[in-house]
Amino acid sequence: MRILILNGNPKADYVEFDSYIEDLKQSLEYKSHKVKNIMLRNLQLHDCIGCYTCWLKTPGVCCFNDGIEDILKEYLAADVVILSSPIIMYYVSALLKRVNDRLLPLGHPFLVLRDHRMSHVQRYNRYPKTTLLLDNQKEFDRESFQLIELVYKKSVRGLAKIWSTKQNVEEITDEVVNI
Amino acid sequence: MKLSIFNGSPKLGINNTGILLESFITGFQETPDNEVEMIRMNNEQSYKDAAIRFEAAEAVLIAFPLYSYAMPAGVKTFLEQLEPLLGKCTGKKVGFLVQFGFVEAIHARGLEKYLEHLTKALDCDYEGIIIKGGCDGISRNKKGAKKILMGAYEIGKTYGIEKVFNKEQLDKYSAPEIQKKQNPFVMKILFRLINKLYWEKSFKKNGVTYESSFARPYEN
Ligand SMILES: Cc1cc2nc3c(=O)[nH]c(=O)nc-3n(C[C@H](O)[C@H](O)[C@H](O)COP(=O)(O)O)c2cc1C
Repeated sequence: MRILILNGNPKADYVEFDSYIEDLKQSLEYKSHKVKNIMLRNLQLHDCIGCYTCWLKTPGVCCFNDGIEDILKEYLAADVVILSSPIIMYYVSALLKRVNDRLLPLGHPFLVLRDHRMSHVQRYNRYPKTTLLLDNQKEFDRESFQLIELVYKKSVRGLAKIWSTKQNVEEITDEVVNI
Repeated sequence: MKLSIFNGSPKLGINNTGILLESFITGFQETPDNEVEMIRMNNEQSYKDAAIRFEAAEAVLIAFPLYSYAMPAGVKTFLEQLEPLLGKCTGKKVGFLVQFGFVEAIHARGLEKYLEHLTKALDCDYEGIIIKGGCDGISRNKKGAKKILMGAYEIGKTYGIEKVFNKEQLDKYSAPEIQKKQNPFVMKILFRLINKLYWEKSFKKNGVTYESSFARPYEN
């Protein structure tokens, strides 16, 4: 399988998180998966400014040419995307959320009814399964997990799985093939 | 009462959050001596400045559009600036206004739980949340949004008088929760109309055809 890991750790001095991701990558590669790991804090990505250029002017293409293209390409090419982030203020990092917002070009503005509520038409035929990997350092993180899950479960393409860095990387590697 | 209002729309210019807030503020200021401080956040520096204003404020309303079922990344940047204040904001009142494109309130219910939790972790008093869908077009067509704006005015007015949100009023304003009661057939026709009259028209204005609107630049 092709697996894309988006590392949303904003802090270079939080090395444990980055090395966990590196271990996970190796573990996945050991099982013959093709893994790409993108360190988001090394890119100078803009926040989405809600201009809708990617829907109305240059369909499918963002107004910012700041490296988001490569992420979108990798995203679409993957079978599984692992959005990863430390929990900061009980939620995923702003850095990871930024990429979440910048996925707008993958959709189309047209409305459809899905599960009794409004939704958008999908631009592409095929999308990867999305998963979340969160750290788990403090006593409050259990509750954050539930809150984050609640929000992400509502999202368009859903959330296939939520993992914690408390799990060992082999466990996640085993689970990846079954989602 | 002095209310510090934070507008976290990431847009650079005119924005739906701001228009909705205008109506809210008009209602709020119907009560003499009610005062408003507006804080606009839409770039890195403004998130830092906003955190300082937040610390100093007595009563706060944080307003923003729903982005992918949550707060826009920029608003999260602002919230991260508040980390040193966790547990230290005793007595500060904090409410929220979240508006968005889809009509049903359910889209923001996950986020609502998060915002309440966060507010309590700061040791602020959680005031409640104004949730309003169907707000996509209000900055383009204020007349068409009369009901939405009137509702925001009424909520502002009540808040201005009573200094607390009226839960019943907020629930009524947020409706519908989901579309289950609507006939799916009617909904489909309605969506087709919106797609045709609104979106296709916008494509055309930008020189984009119906077919090219479905472009897949990154198809494998
Ligand atoms: C990146 C992005 C993500 C969005 N996500 C949602 C969403 O999840 N649900 C929704 O109903 N509207 C969504 N919207 C629409 C906005 O919430 C809506 O247009 C809002 O009125 C914009 O407010 P503003 O003009 O104050 O920025 C999204 C818009 C953008 C640009």
